[in-house]
Amino acid sequence: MATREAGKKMIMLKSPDGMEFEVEEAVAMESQTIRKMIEDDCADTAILIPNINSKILSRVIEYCNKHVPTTGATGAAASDTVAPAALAEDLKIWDAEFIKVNRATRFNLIQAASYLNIKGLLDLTSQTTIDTISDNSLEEIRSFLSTKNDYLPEEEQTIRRENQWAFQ
Amino acid sequence: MADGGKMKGVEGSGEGTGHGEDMDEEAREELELALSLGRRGWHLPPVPVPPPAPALRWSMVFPAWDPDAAGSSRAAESVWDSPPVPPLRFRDMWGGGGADADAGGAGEAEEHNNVEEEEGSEDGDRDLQNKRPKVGAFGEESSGVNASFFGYEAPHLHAFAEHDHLKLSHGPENELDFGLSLISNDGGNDIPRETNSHGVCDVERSGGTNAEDLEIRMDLSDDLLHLIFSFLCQKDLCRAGAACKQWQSASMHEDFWKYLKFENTRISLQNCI
Repeated sequence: MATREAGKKMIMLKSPDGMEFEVEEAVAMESQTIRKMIEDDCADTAILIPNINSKILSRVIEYCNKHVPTTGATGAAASDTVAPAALAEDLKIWDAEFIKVNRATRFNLIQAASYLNIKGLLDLTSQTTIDTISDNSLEEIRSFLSTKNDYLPEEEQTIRRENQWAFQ
Repeated sequence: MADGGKMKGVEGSGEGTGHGEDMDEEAREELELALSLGRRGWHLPPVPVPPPAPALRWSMVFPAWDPDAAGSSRAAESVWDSPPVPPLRFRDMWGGGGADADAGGAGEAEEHNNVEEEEGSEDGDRDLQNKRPKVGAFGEESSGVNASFFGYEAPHLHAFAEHDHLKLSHGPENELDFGLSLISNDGGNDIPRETNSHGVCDVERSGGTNAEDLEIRMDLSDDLLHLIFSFLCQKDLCRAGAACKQWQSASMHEDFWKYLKFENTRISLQNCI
């Protein structure tokens, strides 16, 4: 299965704008979508990731690279003799830094994470969005997340009245 | 503003199909409105809105739109054929629309789909068309037009919703580049361009705003929105639902409302309407 001499096998990922990224198989396998491709032996040549541009893909790979030793069961983790708790703490700080991107990138990351099925990244990006929703007023939500208010004024009034408890 | 100018530029480049799309957009909004009324009708059962009115609108809209887009004998044929059909469909939808909000959303997309088929539209990705109207309708008017323009230009790119998205965010950026290079020619000074390209990379990390950022809409597919909303508590769901219609239908999904949780919520008498 997944542990067949995976060691240092490299996988080529191609974005639609022509960039190629060479990553370790273990890193690529962070993505369940790619993992399935590899397991089904569809990954002999480069894997074309059809809907993620190179900018986003490079961020995704950056994320996977960072997360592979702790979550993946690779042999490369020999140097990781640090206590797992400290490591997790480190990773958390890194994640927080990683997700400090503009909205466009964040939405693209959500979509990429969803397509590539990278649970950690999807949780991370969604969580940021969730925090925005729960911490801010309606107007701020709209402006932060760039949703357009397509309610008529009276419709919005009705909704606000019906859900008044949520706005207090 | 600069933003508006850019949008215009992009629109201009899509003039040919863009015009026809405009009408399509209008029709789409018509449908959207009708359906949202239907949805509200579900809340207040005894007030059914009479279906013939929107149906009439539909048949009026199409002949005007059609020759523009296709102009073939086939198009003319569909103009004659189509009027009796939409009213029937509409009534079906009014019947089914009450079932639940989600079904309403799906039906609406399907309706749009069917209509497109009648028009003899050439693109094959039915599935993806289903997603598009919803997202398009929630973007700005012009960004909706752009999205469909790109979609028509290269239907295969429809393969994933985010494709349009990428296209969209790239278009204006190029425009901007172009504009700035003109300026630098006039002024004999390269700096604006320099700062621009630098800025784009920079902003990626710093979370600031740039042209691309202003363009962007939360145009997530319903699945993703559902996933994100599944993290929210019910109070936040209500608040999120007030943001826009797509969010409302997403937040009203039955998965979130199987149980009511009143922990840590301050329920007072006047809240119980």
